[in-house]
Amino acid sequence: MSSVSQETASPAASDRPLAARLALGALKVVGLVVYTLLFAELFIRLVVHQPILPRYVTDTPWGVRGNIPNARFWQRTSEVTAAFHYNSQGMRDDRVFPLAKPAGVCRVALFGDSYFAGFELKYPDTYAHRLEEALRQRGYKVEVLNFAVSGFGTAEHNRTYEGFARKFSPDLVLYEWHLTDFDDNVRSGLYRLKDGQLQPGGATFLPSISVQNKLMKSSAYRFLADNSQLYNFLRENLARYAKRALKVVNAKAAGDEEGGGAGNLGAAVYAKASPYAVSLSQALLDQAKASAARDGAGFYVMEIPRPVSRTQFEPSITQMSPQFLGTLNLIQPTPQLTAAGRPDRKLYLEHGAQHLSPDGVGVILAASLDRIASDPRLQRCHGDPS
Amino acid sequence: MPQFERILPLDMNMVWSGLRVFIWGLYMKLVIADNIAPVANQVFAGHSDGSAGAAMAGLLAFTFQIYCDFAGYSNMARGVARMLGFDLMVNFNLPYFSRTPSEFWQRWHISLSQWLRDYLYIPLGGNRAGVSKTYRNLMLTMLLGGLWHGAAWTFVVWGAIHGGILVIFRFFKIDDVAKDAPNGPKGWVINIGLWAATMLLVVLAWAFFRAQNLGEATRVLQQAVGGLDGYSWATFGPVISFIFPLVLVEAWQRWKKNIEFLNAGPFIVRYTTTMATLLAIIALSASQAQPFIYFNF
Repeated sequence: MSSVSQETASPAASDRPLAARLALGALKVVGLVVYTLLFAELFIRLVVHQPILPRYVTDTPWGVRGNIPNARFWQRTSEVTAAFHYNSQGMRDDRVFPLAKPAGVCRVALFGDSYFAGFELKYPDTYAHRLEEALRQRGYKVEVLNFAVSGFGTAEHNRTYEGFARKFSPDLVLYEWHLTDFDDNVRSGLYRLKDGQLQPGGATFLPSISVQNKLMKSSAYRFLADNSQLYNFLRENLARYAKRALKVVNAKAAGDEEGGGAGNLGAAVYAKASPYAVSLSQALLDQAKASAARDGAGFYVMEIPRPVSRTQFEPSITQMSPQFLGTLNLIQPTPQLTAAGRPDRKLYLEHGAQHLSPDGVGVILAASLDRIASDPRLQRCHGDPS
Repeated sequence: MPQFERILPLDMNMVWSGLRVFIWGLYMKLVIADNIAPVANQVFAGHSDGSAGAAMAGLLAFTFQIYCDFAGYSNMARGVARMLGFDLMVNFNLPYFSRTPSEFWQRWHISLSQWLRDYLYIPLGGNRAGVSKTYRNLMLTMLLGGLWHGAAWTFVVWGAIHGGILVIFRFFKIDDVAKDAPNGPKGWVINIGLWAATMLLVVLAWAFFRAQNLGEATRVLQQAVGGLDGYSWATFGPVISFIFPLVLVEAWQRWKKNIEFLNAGPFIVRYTTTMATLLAIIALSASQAQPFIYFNF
């Protein structure tokens, strides 16, 4: 910046006392910083329209992230403004669920990432809420417990199930599958494959949570996270690179020379996962299925496909072996989405992070409802339609 | 190069000025060229919807892709050189504001144009050996200029088109019309008409430069002139939204006769325009970087 000071210094400046010159210099620097931040915020708002999708996550006793209990915040994009409220158990729900299941009531536990967490959706539009409503309309006394946390993969679902969710005695366990899970499962390092066997890895996976916990105590930081498009733009981009680096490191540590496969930088995320990432994900789903069976719960997996366009949708779970997929209760709504897709119909939102639109949730609900409703474990809770 | 013979102390004004030239080049490459490249790629690969609008959007995209790719690269090289204390020549001087093909070649890839003029056109006799030999020299120079890009018939045709339109403009003395255009509304009409005709020819010629073979170029051109369908914002929006800011900046550059947009004005203006450009690079750079086109040549 020497040229700046050279250009802006007036001849009389050198006559001023040192303290005054230093103060003036400091004032200029502060002014420039403030101007830079305000200009950058304005630029991002006008040009980029950065969605504001705060996460509000913290650490949990079971070693992975969880939604901050009792948090209230907003998500804003140019398409939607959605209020979020997590109950004291970190679920996106106004109710608090006792551990003991009420008599005559069945429970469905949902595990997923931001799709099941209902990012960019108002609460009544979320899959969890609509599934419960639809089951109740069919006469089931049912509670849907939403354990989804943005950014989660299968490994984190498994930890959450073992450490927390199974205490609620769910009758059905429904895992969301999304293509990012290949990466997430490698990145977390919570489990590794050794000689084809699933081994425990790191005790915890809490990326940047200690820093975030400190920051979240500051109301100024929360204001930035909730309102600044510039902050959200920087955080999203830095997080993307950090996640990529972490995945490669953990994949290499597990002996995967391909670094987990194509990373999630830009469009490359849609390329194939490495064989290691695929095998690890299969093993984790197998583990989840076994855990649910041990507890007498039914286990389902539902894929949220990637939108290629408004009329084309691409599955990723098909990278796993057909033999393995044949062992799962797999709900694959790609055909229903493809049938519903039209150039003038938005099944996925387009100005945020490509989450499902309320219309899209309706399609996957229709694709999954019959399968879930006909599960024998729910029949004991079936009464008159309410 | 005489500049190598003197040792230059680090000049911070040169460093900042060079950095801004570099940033502008980076913007042209990463934000404009790389973002509109997929539109051109789709059309030339035959994956567009087959409409005339899609083909024209592809041609427009390639017109600005190759300009921003190569001019961006040149600006980056000029910027780095200036930071080290060396002044390199301007290689692209607002070529798409040219009113005639000869003006275009005075503004496009100036280092190559000057080389072709000094080592080919003038040794062949230039315009001093009679009218017909001038036309021959123009054609030969442009044909060889085309072949310089690669041994392919597409480059030969591209060179021939440029040679041909140079000859036609010279034959009908259109260059003189441009030079003698009066001030005022009549001059505006003449200038805009000449500019539109020149640009149309330049854009159509790019089809041969971009295509893998003559058949591909012919297919795209036939598609482009084959109707009036497909002209919509959905087709042109992805191109126009990226080239519009460039057109505004270049209009300002032409108006102010100042090629260095980011180095113009007082400190706060330079700071603001540079910051906006940097933010645009960070926020809008294409997710899939494309190699420089001229690395092929």
